[in-house]
Amino acid sequence: MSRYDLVLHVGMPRSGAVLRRALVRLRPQLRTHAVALVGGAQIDGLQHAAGWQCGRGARGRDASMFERELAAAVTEEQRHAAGIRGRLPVRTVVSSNRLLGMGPVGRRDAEQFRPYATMATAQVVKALSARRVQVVLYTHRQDRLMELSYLKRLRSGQQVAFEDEFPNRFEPVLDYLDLIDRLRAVPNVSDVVVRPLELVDAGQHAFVNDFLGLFGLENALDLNAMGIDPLPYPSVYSARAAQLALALVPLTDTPAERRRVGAYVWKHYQASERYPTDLLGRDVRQRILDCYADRNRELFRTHLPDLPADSYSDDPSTFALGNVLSQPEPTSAGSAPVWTAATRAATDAVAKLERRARPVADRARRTISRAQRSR
Amino acid sequence: MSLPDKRFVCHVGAHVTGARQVQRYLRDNVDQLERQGLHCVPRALMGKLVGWGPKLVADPDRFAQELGSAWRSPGIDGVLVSHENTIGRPFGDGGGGLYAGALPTLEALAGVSEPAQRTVVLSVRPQADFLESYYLQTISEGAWHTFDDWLGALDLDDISWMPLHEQLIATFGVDAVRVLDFAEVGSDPVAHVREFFRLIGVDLPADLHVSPVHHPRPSEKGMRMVLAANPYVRTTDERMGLRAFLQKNFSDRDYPSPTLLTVEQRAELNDRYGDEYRRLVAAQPVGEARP
Repeated sequence: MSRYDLVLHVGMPRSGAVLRRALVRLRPQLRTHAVALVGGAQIDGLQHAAGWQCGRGARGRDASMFERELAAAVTEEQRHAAGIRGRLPVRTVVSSNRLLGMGPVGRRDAEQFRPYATMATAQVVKALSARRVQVVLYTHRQDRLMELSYLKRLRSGQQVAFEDEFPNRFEPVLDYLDLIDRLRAVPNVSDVVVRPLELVDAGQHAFVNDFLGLFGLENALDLNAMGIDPLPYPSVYSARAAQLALALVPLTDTPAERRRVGAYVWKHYQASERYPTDLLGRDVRQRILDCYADRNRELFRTHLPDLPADSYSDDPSTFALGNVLSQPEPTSAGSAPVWTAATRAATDAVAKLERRARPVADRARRTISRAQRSR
Repeated sequence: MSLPDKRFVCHVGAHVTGARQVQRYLRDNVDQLERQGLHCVPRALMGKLVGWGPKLVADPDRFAQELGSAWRSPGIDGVLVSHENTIGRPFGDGGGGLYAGALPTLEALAGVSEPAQRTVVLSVRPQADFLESYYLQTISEGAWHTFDDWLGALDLDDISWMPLHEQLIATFGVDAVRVLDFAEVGSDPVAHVREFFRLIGVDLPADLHVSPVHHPRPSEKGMRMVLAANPYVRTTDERMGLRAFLQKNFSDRDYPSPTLLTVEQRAELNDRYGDEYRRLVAAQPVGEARP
């Protein structure tokens, strides 16, 4: 880590969210290790965030203001980290999915995968006057990436067929190797490290520990401080929600009706243990994987030599990527909780209780209102 | 063993004729009815003992025990049940009108209640309304057939209430059978409950309070939505969720009602069944009110 003064954590949808939620909880510990963390929410909250050239809607005239505000936010965080460890050189981690460009993957990626990635990253590097930059890129297997992006788009209320959203789905346009080359070409970016998002299957602790290990903090933090991730599932529609939305939304006539349908579908059918996101049929999925097989094999050989080259070739994956991570050493009393099982069990239990309690609450409300009326 | 001083009152539905309204009143007024000497068997228990009929036929003793234990209770001289699934489903194979398969269950019911003085109430409504409401019930329970497809599979010449009524009379005796005209009282919950109790000869308080069972009907748009969504809705809680959502947001309170039967179809059904329906609901023998 000492070789780099700035680490940019970028990822495909979901990888960023899982890590950012965890890192924010670990911020105090990161400061004690002289690591200044600036997350996506902080950047999005800047007054001139629209000046970040990460999408079609970016405002060019706000670019310099955005850069100044970002530099100020990072400096502020660096001061905190430096204050704790005296005059030690501070390492900075900036984590935002917008470093690859705004919005979910879709039609606009057909010509070039994440076309704004270079511009958005270069602007941050320039704003922070970083000289040695490491980019940590989290990949997501293309079929899953398309699936989740599509489910996200439906969640936002748009009605579009999967085939229309990804007309080039059977061509290797979502090419990580090309994206890595473009990120590497950004001035002052010295290295691009690649990690597959699928490692998250090993559990929250193992996944976060793996990320921390990239800059020498493996097993150095008390990961129990993260708590249980409140959102262990991607924040998208489930496959069933998508089917319902595609069936119901065309029957609506007004935006208000669409909102009501959207709220119903989201409330009852968001992605969860009960409602998975497996939208694609087996044949389509395998066809997509086949068309990316060569490029993905090359990706693993070149950038992930410690993992099997065929990790992204089949579904279900020939190699369960989650199994390659070892669980971190427990750093506080008790053993490190297994995130996946515990969180999902807790979330499902809460959802079940809510479902059971709803009719009781409704009945109580009706009784109260009846009593009030009769009084 | 004869128990001439004991009563058995059974409301056998039919479906979509407001049985839930009667059941709600019974559920909410268990104590008051007990004070009047009437023990109500909860609907959930009826589901276990009778179900859709075959349970009672296969094992009538469980229901007989329930009745016997109620009759033996001090201060109880009657048992009151309301359970529309007792007579099975309205459309079966072969002729015999609505609920043609009810006879075995009715005979079993007559067998277990034989020692007592019996009253059986059948709620009915005109065929056109019954068809529309029953269709809406099928889709709210998860089916996604169109009304025309569903109607096309029915024999509209074989949907008379009379065969069922005759079976009831043959099983329980002419003096025991009452018919409640839902078309007359269904829109007013208080009148509905009053009429039910008038037919079975039980007095109700003058200031009757009835919690209305209000299920808004789906609108035309709501109906199209439920048909579109049902293929993807699988479990009971999912169906309840969809139903609640559509009742809240797309019911006929805020949107136009669905048009199911055409004017001609309605007129045809009225020509075919109107007279017999009027004869059926007219001149009801009314039970003697008990103090």
